[in-house]
Amino acid sequence: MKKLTNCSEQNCRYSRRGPDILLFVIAFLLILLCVLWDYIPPSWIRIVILACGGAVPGLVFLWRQRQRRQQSDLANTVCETIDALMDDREPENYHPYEDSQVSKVQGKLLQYYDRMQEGRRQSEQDKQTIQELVSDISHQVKTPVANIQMFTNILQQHQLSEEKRAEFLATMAAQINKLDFLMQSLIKMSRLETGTFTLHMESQSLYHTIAQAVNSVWGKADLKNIQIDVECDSDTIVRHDIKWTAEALENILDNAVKYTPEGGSIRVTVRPWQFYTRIDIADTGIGIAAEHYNDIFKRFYRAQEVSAEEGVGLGLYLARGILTRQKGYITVSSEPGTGTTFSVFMLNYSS
Amino acid sequence: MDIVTIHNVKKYFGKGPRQVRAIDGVSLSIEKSRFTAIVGASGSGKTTLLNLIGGLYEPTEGTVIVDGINLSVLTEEQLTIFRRRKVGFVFQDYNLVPELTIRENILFPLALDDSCPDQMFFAQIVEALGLKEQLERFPYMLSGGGQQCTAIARALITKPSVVLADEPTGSFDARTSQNVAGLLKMTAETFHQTLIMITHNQELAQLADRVVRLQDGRVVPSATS
Repeated sequence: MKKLTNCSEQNCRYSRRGPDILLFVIAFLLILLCVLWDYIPPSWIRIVILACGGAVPGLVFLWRQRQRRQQSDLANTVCETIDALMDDREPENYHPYEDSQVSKVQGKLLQYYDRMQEGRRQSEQDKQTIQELVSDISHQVKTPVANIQMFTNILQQHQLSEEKRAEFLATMAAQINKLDFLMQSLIKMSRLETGTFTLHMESQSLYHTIAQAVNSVWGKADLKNIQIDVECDSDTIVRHDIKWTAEALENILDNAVKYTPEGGSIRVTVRPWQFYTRIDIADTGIGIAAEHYNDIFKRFYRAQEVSAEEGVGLGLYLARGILTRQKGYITVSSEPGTGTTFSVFMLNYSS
Repeated sequence: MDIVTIHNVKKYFGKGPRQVRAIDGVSLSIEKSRFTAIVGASGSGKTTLLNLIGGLYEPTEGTVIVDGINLSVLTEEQLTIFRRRKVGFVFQDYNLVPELTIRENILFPLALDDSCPDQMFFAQIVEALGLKEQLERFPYMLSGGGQQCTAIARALITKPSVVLADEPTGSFDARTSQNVAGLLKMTAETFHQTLIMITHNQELAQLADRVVRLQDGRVVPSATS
């Protein structure tokens, strides 16, 4: 309201200024007339000068009128464009690639509208992602639950020897463990997908994060007699979330241990670069064919040749998601039968 | 939503028996806010395709639609304005103006269009690309990587519909290539830009959301992912 009052006051001031200028011009012309009468005798010169004196304010008046008209045209076009966009239709008189003020403003308005539409599309896409997630989850959970149901039925309805009973219970326990692991992964995945996980970015030594990740796969590696070497300076500082980064590295290492035959080796090398710090995790495992480089990071992807190995196909997907959220990225190079190197790139100064 | 739609585009150079079929019937849609890598051997038509999208070449046949506008209906003057406002170019050899500071180089496309810079956006870009301390320096004072980062900032400053990068890391060693390509990907993602990058480096192509393979001026269908 106050704004409106200020506006109308301003308008009054502008409208009062018009007669002020007119009075000033008339006074100026009268003085000019008196001066000319006294100092310039030939009458035609007096008339020419007087006419020029009169023409200047006239031209100024016309120029101002033209300017006002242009301003009002611009305002009208902008309003028309906004109206059209509010009605979800293409604005009339839209000339996107003209070198004019109108076209520039229209272009920006359309860009803004597009951004808004993009947000709408994104939320629709999110809805679809959640639907797919739910269907994926139910599909993944179905098999272990069906197995548990089957064994429960057998245990309830049949008289079994103690030995058989113990065997079935052990199988059930394994299925329950699988279900538990699956649920843990799914919770992490849904937090990643829905963006509800919070990163605590700190400038910390990468050494400790890698040590944490290596520690959690050490036992499994030891069982398969796989040697893990780490080459990392303790003063390599990178801005990262320790917990989630350790989780991502653990997933990659776990993958390496799983697909490296007994007696193999895994080498972790850290190299600080100008913008990124590169962590190479190289194994002497079974390798990945080049055409599957993109697939391995997909949700629930499992290569046919490794279907015998335990796993749900979420580890690398989660690793990539976690690193992308920290503005890092991950690449892979591999020689089937010789080994695979995962290269993790972490932004040094990510905020 | 698709930001670029190419329908049965052909681009031939020359006539008669010496005619070169650089692009020979390509149909392709590129999604908004995604990173697409175009890979292929040299001579496969990668740069020609990029120049067709950027309105630098007119197709011999077919249509190129960028941001809802069919480029073939635009006049030469309109095409110039289209390139200025809707396309950000990043070239292999940076193409910076040596007499201008890094700040002036980044703001150059806005000066051409007589537009005001969005100061907040400018600050975000230079921060993300590590150029904050270099703004008053001249291009020759920066490393190759730094100069390419300036070119990336210059491509982004107009908030274009699409950023086209033609072998942006072609002249770098493996380490700088990863650094610069990583930053290009990161800034495009942060600022919701559509990025199309040509590369012959398979490792860099892995950074993209989608890889389009070209061979003899045609898209290799099975390899798109």
